[in-house]
Order: sequence, then C-alpha cells, then structure tokens
Amino acid sequence: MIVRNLAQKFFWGAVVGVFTVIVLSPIVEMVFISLSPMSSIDSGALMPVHWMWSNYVDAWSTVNLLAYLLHSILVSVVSTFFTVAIALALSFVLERFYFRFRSALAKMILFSQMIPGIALLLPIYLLYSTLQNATHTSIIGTFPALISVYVGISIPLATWLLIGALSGIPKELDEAAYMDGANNMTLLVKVLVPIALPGIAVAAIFSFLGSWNDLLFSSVMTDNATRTLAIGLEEYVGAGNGGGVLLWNQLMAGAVMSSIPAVLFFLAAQRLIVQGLSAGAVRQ
Amino acid sequence: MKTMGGVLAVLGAGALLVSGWRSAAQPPVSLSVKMELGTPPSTTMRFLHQVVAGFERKYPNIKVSISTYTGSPATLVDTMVASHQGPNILEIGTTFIPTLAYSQAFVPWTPAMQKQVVPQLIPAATQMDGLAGQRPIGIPDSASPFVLWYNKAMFKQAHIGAPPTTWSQFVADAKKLTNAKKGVYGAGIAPGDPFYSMHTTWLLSRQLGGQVINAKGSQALFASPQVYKAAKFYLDLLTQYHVVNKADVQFAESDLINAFMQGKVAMVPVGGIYDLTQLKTDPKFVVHNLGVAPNPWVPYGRTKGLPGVPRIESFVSGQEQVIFKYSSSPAQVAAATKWIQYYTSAPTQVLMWKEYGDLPVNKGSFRNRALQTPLWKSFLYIEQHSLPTPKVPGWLQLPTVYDKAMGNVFDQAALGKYAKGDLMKTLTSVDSQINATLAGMQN
Amino acid sequence: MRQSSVRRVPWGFLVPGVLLVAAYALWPIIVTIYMSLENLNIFFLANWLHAPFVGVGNYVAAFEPNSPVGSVFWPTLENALVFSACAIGIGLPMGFLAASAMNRNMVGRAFFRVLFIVPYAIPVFVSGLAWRLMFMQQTGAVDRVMALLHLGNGQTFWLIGSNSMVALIIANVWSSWPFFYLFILAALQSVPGELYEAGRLDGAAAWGLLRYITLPQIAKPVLISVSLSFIYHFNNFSLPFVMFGTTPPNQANTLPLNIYLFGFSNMQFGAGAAMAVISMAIVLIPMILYIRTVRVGN
Repeated sequence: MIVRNLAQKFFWGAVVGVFTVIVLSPIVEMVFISLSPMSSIDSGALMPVHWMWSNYVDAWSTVNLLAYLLHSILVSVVSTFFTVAIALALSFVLERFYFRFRSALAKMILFSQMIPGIALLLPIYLLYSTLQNATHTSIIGTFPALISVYVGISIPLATWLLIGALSGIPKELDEAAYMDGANNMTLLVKVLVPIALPGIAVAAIFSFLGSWNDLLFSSVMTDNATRTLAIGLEEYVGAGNGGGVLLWNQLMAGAVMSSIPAVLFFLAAQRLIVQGLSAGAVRQ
Repeated sequence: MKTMGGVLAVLGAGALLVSGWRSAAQPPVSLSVKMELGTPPSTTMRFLHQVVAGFERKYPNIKVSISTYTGSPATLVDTMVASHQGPNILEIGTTFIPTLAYSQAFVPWTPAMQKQVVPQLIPAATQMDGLAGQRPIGIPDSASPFVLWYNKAMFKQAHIGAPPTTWSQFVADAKKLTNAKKGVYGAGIAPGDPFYSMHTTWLLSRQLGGQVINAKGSQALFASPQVYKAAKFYLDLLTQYHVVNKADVQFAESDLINAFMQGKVAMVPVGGIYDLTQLKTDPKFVVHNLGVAPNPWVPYGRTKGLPGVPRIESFVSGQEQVIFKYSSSPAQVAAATKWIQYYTSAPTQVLMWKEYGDLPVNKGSFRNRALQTPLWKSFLYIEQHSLPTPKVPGWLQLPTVYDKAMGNVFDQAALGKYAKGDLMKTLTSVDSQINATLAGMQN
Repeated sequence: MRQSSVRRVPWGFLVPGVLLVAAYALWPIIVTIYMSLENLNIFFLANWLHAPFVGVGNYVAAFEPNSPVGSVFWPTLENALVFSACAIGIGLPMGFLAASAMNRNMVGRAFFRVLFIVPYAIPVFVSGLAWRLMFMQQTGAVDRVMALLHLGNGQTFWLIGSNSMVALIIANVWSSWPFFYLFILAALQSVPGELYEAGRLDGAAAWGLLRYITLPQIAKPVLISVSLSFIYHFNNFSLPFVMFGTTPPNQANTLPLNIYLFGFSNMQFGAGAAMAVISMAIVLIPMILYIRTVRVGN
C-alpha cells in the first residue's frame, strides 16, 4: 500500500514536472529573446550573449505601446462588462420564462456562434457605414464601434454559459424573492447574480479573451487614436512587412509586458473560474 | 459727381468687405489622409506631423487629419470600396494601383495635378498610374526602386571589382562569394515573401523578352517558355548553382535584409530600398559597406542582351496617393490635390528622405547637396530607367497566387523533394487559377 | 406547473441581446449567403448588391476538386479538420492529465494551478510570433535544443513542407490546451467525493474508479468542451495568419486563412463567401451535438 502510494506520488509529481516544463520553456525563451541583442537572436544563441535590459525601455518608445495597452484594456474590460450584462438578461429570460419560440430563439443564438470571424468582417463594416451615412457621424474607428462588435460576437457563448449557470440555481429562490415583492430586475441583480457569480466569471473570461485576442476587427475598425495591442504590436513587425528589420527583441519585450495584464486578470479570476465551471457552467 | 464717386467708393468697399467676409466665412475643408506607417513608427509620425503643420500653415482653410495603417492594405481597400466610406486620400503601394483603378472608386488625375504636380516628378516614377488606356489615378509620393544590394567589403575580399551586369557573371560572382561551411552565401532571396518571387520573375522574364500576362490582361502566361525559363533560373540559384542558403526559403524580405546585414549574404537581387534607415543606423553595418547597383540585365548564358529587348534593370515601385471618390466632395478633391502637391514638392520630399530614407520623386529634390552622393545617384539612375509592370486589372492577383505557389516549389526544393517537371506543373496550375479569376474580371 | 411560467415575460430583457445578435450574426450570415451567389470581385464591390448573379456557381467551383477554386478548397478544408482534430486529440488528454494532477493534494498546488493557465492568457498573436521565431531552421530554439539533445541535426525545416502543420499544431496545442484543463478540472471537482469512497469500499482499484466513476461523471462537460473547441479551432484564422502570413505552405493553409486569401487578398469575394457558408454548414455538426448534450431549450 505504501509502495503504491509512493509510486502514485512519484507519477503525479512527474506529470506536474513535465507540464511545468512544457508551459515554461517557450515563456522562458520569449523572455530570453526579449533580453537579447539582435545579434544573438540572429546567430541562434539559446541564451542572450549579454543581457540587454534596455529593450524593455526602448519597446515603449519604438511604438506607442502604453496607449495601445490602455486601449486594449479599455476595450476588453468594457466589452466584457456589456457582454455579461446583456447575456445575463438574455439567459435569465431564456432560462426562467416560457414563451413561444423560446427554444427556437435559444438555438438561433447558439447557431450564431458558428460563423467564421472572416465572414463577419465585411458585413459588419457595411452595417456601420450605412449607419454612418444615415446619421452623418463617424462610427468606424471609434471605441464604441469596436466594443459593440466584441459584445455582439461574444454574446452567444456567454448566453449559453450563463444559461448553464442559472439552471443550477433552484427556482424556489425566485418564488421567495417575488413573494418579498421583488421585480425581475431586483431578483436578477440581488438574488441570482451573487449565486451565479462564478458562472459569470467564466463567461467574462471567454468574452475578455475574445476581444483581447482579436486581430481581425481591430485591423480595420481602429484608428490611430483607438489602436489596440494586437495591431500595435504589429508595428514592430510592420517594420519587417515594409522590408526593414524586425525588432524581435523589442517585440518580445513589448509582448511580455503586454501579456501581464491578461495574466493578472486570470490570476485574480482563477479561483472563480474553477468554482464557476463546477457550479453549473459545465454541469448541465 | 463727387457724391456719386463717394457712393461708388462706399459701395465698392462694401462689396469688397462682403466678399472678404464671405471668403473668410467659407466653411473650412476637412481632409482625411491615411498613410502607410513606415519604419520606425515614431519617425513616420514625427515626419507626418511636420508635413501637416506646414501644410495647414500654407492653407489655413484646410484641416488635415492623419491616420496610419500597418500590414497589407487589401482588407482596408476592400472595406472602403464596398462601403463607400473611407479617408479622402489613401497612400498605397504601386502594386495595388491598377486594381484600385479597376474598382472605379478613385478620382482620376485632376487638371491641377496634370499641370502642376506631374511635371515636377521624375517621369519614370509616374508610369504606374492606373490602368493602361484609362485615366490615371495615382500620384507617386516616394519611390523604392528594386536594386541589387551588395556588400562592398565582401566583394573586396573576393577580389571582385564591380557588381555584375549579366546573370552569368552574377552566378559566377556568387559562387566565388559562397562559403557554405561558414554559412556565408553569395546571394540571398526571399521566396516566402508575398511579392518577392513575382518581382524577380517579372524582371527576369522581361529580360528574356517574355510577359507574365498578355497585354489585355485576360490571360496569364506563366507557363510560357520565357517565363518558365525565368522561374527556372530563379529556382536554379538554389538547386543548380547552390549560391543561396536553403534557409532562405522560409524568409520574408525582412529576414533576408537581416541576413545581408549580418554578412551572411553578399548580394541581394531585386532588393527594396525601405531598409535604408536601418542600414544607415546599424552600428555593425557601416554604411560604406553597402553597395547599390542596377540589377543584372543580360539573361543567363549570354554576354549581350537579347535583340529587340530593351535594357531592363528595375521596375517602377513605391508609394502613391489616390483620392477616394465616394467620400470626397469637390472641395475635398481640390484640397486633396493641394495636399498631394505639397507632399510631392521638393522641400517635403527632401524632408521625407532625411527622416526615413525613402527616395524622393520630385526632380528638384535631387538638387539638394546631400542627395548627390554616389549611392543616391545610383538610386536616381535606376529609378529613372525603371519600367512599369503590367497595368492590367488582375495585376494584384498575380503575386497572391504566384508567390504562394512558388514559395511551395522552393520549400520542396529545400527539402530535397523537388522533382523535374514540378515547376512546369506549378506554373500551369498558377495559370489556370489566375485565368479563372481573370475570367470573372472581364467586364 | 411552475409559477414563473405564468409570470409575464420581461421582453425588455431580451431586446438588447436579440438586437445585437441580429446585427452581428444574422445580418452577416444573410450578406455572406447573398454574396456567395454573386460573381463579386473588386470591380462590382462598390455596387455589391447588383453584382452579376451566378447562383450556385461559386459552390460548384468550390466542390469540384479539379477546378482552380476546388483544388485549393479541399486541401485547406482537410487541413482545418486535421488542425482541429489534433487540437482536441492532443489538448484533451493533456488537459485531463493536468486536471487530474491538480485535483489531488500536493505541495504547491495553488501555484501550479495558476501556472497551467498562463499559456491561455498570452495573446495568440504574441505566442504565434514567438513560435515562428523558435521554429526557424538552424537559429530557432527548437532546432537548437533538439541538436543539443541529439534529437536532430539542427537543420530541420519546421516552417515549410509537411512540418509546417506540425509546427502549427504544436504552437496551437501549447496555447489552447488549458481550455480543456479548466473544463475538466472543474468537472472533476464537481464529482461528489462520496462516489469515490463507495467505490473504494467496493474494492475498486484506481483504474476501476477512473473507468466507472470519473469518466461517466465528466463525460458531458468533456463533450461540451470538445464541441466548443472544434468550433473555435475550425474557425481559427489568427494563428495560421500570424505564423505564415499570406504565403502559407500548402500544408498549413487552413480553410479560414484560405477564405481570407481568396476573399480579401485575391478579392474574389463571391468564392470566399461560398467557402465561408460551407464552413458554417460543417460547424453545424458539433453545434447539433452540443445542443443534444445540453438539451437546449427544454
């Protein structure tokens, strides 16, 4: 028994060790590149020939990294907030009420998840330009335009995850709240949201990732004043695209620094995510 | 009579006042300009802000808003054309110009451009202006002739006196310069780049008297004998003459320039100009090591050019500015013309060259002392003698299909999986793919 | 009958969500289907509503394996399927193994739990570029390390030929496996401990516990994560684009990238739209699987 326990311990320890190596080695390499002079990258040295901390300073001035970082945080956080709020309302109605076409509506929302992002780009641009023409305002290139795209495309998955989270909450709670004179809004905000908080965290993570990782919409829907990180980092590469030399070291320094907010976001939400997934999002 | 005169004078003054008041009250014109972001980005922005400030001082009534883009402009153009929304002026590479003309979404040269702007520019630079036989749309704002880069120090070491003018000499020199054991190669290419293969093949096939597409633009001719021969020579650099590194096949142009700067590559045929800022500022690559020459022009295996084929050493390339029809009012078109005139004027062009090393297109710029060095004189010479690539609607489609296909041929060659006949097969399939596209474009 | 069923439906709650889904999903689908029926290139784009109508012509061209369009469409479809299958086939076991480890008591568990999600938090456009650099022949870290460990000669081409798909899959699995890890860890945590107690009392070995308790308990969340993952990967444009740009090796050209190349780069919007519609039809299959599993709207 002891031997078996020891063997088990060893096995799982080895598993964790292997995974740690898998996860860490590319990250370590990214950090190494970010601290290398270009010459050591070109010669293929695994370690920097000398540590070049100035990359972390220069990366901020080569491109407007700070602005792009702030834009990305703003766009991702705001779109996550609206996605969750709107999807919560949607899932509340779909989960707690019966009406004709309810099932059809729910399925339709889920099906809208199937469209490849590339197919969305041109139609959404056309929609915005029609609105621009009709209202004589500029929409494309503004934060609200970009944020609404992210909200719009994140809603289906978020709605589905939230339907899962709400379905895990007993209906008796609703009845009790209604008895106490609550209306739908107070029921949702005061009673259901606190209980579904973990599930909400999950939906928030996915919608945050959707906008944080986006490359496609930000490439045509942002302007110099609204440019996000994905496109901003491309400017280190843009040097290469036009021919010039790609500043790998500064790009990686910028990348490492700009990954930090997302990692922190995950750190903070990590506890909630695991709880949330087990609380209902995956237990349908 | 006196009173009459007084009245008239007052009336006249009044009229003057009114007209003066009117012109002052003329609504200011807003002009949106979208430029490609050069390198480094901060330099581009500094330069553009200087231009805008100078322009607005000269034309107080025009308010310019500048924005920039990076990467491929294809998506940007697509969304602009489909939605009729976009900036008044777009800066874009010459490769796109025929396709943009074909979309009919851009304003043809205005009389003011024709009379005041174009005559000031290097005539060769203005050749890639739109579709053949139709009204031109694009005005060049910077030139980037594709040239032969070479490393002077390496040439000296190998006792090579002058850059090659024939491709046979090019191969011979490259062999001399190659030291594969040390990872040093006589030549470098970038088959992984979205345009490099097309540029090279066009140049080589024209020198052989061939064309990659027929004059009407309805039929791709990649499988024709001359183009095949051109593509074969391009491929032979790797497979037959072994003067390029196999690793080049994964290269985009930036990787290639990098290898050149590291001294791993001695010559880069059909190399762009963009990188000059980097080359100038890189402490390791002293600028006097950099040699610039016209591309070799005599086909491989010959000592003289083919009879009846002109001496072709480069093609017209660079950035142009076009005015977007759908978003521009007549007042904005007029303002845009003034902007383009200002941007292409000699002082602005010199400033541009100083800031990031793009070749000016204004003839007057070259009177500047600093531009009269051998290096810049060679650039000017090459630019003056460059020819336009075909001005047909499908020109943009050619590199998108051909470069991808050719990249895969090089991949196979590098992996040792290339079989004789694969190139012809690939070129035939490139033709059929492009022709299918062109068939839909015959209107 | 439940009380809530007779309550008045708060339609106001539905409005913003339904409007957004209509604008950002329904409308694009309609436009895409419409464009897929046209001969739409840059010439007609400005008046795309009135481009020449070609009916199912674009679909026929895509399906015909020897046509210029079809000869590209089929291989890229296959690539997208291989790409998605590997993302699931490799990511799922990895996620299961890591989640099982993290579901046990061990030293530093809190640290490792967080560490394992880090790849997921790094934007794809960052990790994709890093992997491209690492996969460079000779100078890249992968070749260097393999040569150091005598696993290769340091001359392997990872970014071209059939290896390019391997490189793409490795880069993708690295950044996406934590998705499965998260889903399965949560599922494992929700398996009641009493089940295992009972199992052990019945004398079940570790294998028996896994086979009869763990797997059935987590089957449903696993199925859900598999369908979501398939949809995500099948439509993944960013990673192939970041790693290979507009001149991908044939072996790494996946369907979404091909749709982009056809539609936006080559400006054959009709053909691109037809391929997008076909891609949507394919994604419907896991979607239906998902609906069956979750039993939507019952």
